[in-house]
Amino acid sequence: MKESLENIVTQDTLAAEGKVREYVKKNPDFLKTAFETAALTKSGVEASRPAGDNTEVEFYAVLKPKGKPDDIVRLDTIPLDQLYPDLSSKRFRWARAIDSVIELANEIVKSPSTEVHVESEVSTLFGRILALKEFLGMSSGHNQVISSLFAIVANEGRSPVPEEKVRGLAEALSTLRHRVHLPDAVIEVFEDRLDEFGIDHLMPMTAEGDDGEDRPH
Amino acid sequence: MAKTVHIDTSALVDLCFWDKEARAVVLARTSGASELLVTPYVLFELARGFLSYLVALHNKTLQFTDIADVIGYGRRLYRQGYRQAAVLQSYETYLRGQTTALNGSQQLALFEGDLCKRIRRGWRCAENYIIPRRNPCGCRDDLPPPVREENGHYRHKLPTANCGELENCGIRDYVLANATEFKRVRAALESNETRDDETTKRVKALREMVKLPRKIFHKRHCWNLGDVVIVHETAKDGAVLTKNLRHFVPIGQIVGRTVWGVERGQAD
Repeated sequence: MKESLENIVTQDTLAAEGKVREYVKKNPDFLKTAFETAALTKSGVEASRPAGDNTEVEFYAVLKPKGKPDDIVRLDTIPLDQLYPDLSSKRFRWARAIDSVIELANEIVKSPSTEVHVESEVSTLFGRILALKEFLGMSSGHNQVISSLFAIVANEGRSPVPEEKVRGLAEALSTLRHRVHLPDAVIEVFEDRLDEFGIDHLMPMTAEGDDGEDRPH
Repeated sequence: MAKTVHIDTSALVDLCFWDKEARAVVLARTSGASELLVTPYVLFELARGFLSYLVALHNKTLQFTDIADVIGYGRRLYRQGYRQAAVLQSYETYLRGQTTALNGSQQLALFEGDLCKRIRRGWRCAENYIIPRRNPCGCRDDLPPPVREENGHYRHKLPTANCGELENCGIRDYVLANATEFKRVRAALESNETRDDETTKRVKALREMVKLPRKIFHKRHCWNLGDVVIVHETAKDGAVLTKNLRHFVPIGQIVGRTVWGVERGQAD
């Protein structure tokens, strides 16, 4: 019977390390899935996020032997282009750029500060969002997400942004973490989170002369 | 306050496809209602009207490489007075307010993203107001959602091929069952010598539809009836919400239905 990874990591450290390596070898897509889903600790494997110019992902097994302290073992270091051989480097730059937006949003809500400081930080956050323009045209999914983010800057940037909305933005953005593909299902989760926090992510409309008619019939 | 508020197509666009402010106005206007209802007839009108033009506009963005091309295309729409031209106009205004410099292809991509999102979310929202088995005029209720092909284009295949056939469509039966009222509407609209083109088409459609039953009627008659059917299928103790008061109010007065404007204080 096939042993689950959750069981393996609770075994004696040495035995577990070998079994985890074997498990990963037999399931070549496992690391990619672990990297994308971010539900890593549950499965016993964690991935480092590439930052800055780094394009490699480090994978670790988190071993939890019964009755002993946890241990961490490095499994592998895999360049992103090897993990996704069919994708352009621009997609990975996107993943890093969106991560930097998420990080800053999280920093703003986690570190208590004065209102003025928060405003200054939010301006920087919006600046990072607007810098995502280089990814426009990459795919329709990216266009949709960037369209939402730009609309947020346009709608919410006119007055001080309440911390709760920054928190909401951080939470919504976290649904995009590690995503190099943006299917509609993922985008909908992102948008629903924004809605829950009352964040206006629709392009503002001017309706001059709009009488609701839909001519001609 | 009316128990059931029927949302007409123009109000549905504000509720689901426009922006947060427009949606808030519709929700505030209907805040005391026990239910909001979108009928299959209204959904169909949305699909063959506003939504179809939005889909066309979206697909145009994939055909062009610069926003200037889409705006050029849109000039034709402005002249014809399509409401979706307002979407393009709004986008131009939005771009003027952008604080970050975008080149033409980036502006086009941003617009593509906005349209895509508006179509996807708007349809989901509109369907939410459909209540199963609440289909007074018997319009077909098998509309599929718009789907995207692999090349990114939206397609919204409407089952219009069978429109007007008695076994697929309840409109003829509905009109005949209420022939007295529909004839009254026709007579009243016809007596207005300053009626507009849309009303003239409506009068003609009413005349055709109440003739002795024929097996098939032309679907254009059904489309031209639009406002009359929407007002008439409104519950007598309910109200219909619209932005199109010019056409709805006279019909409402003839058939004894309450018509509300989307803005407060309009035509209660």
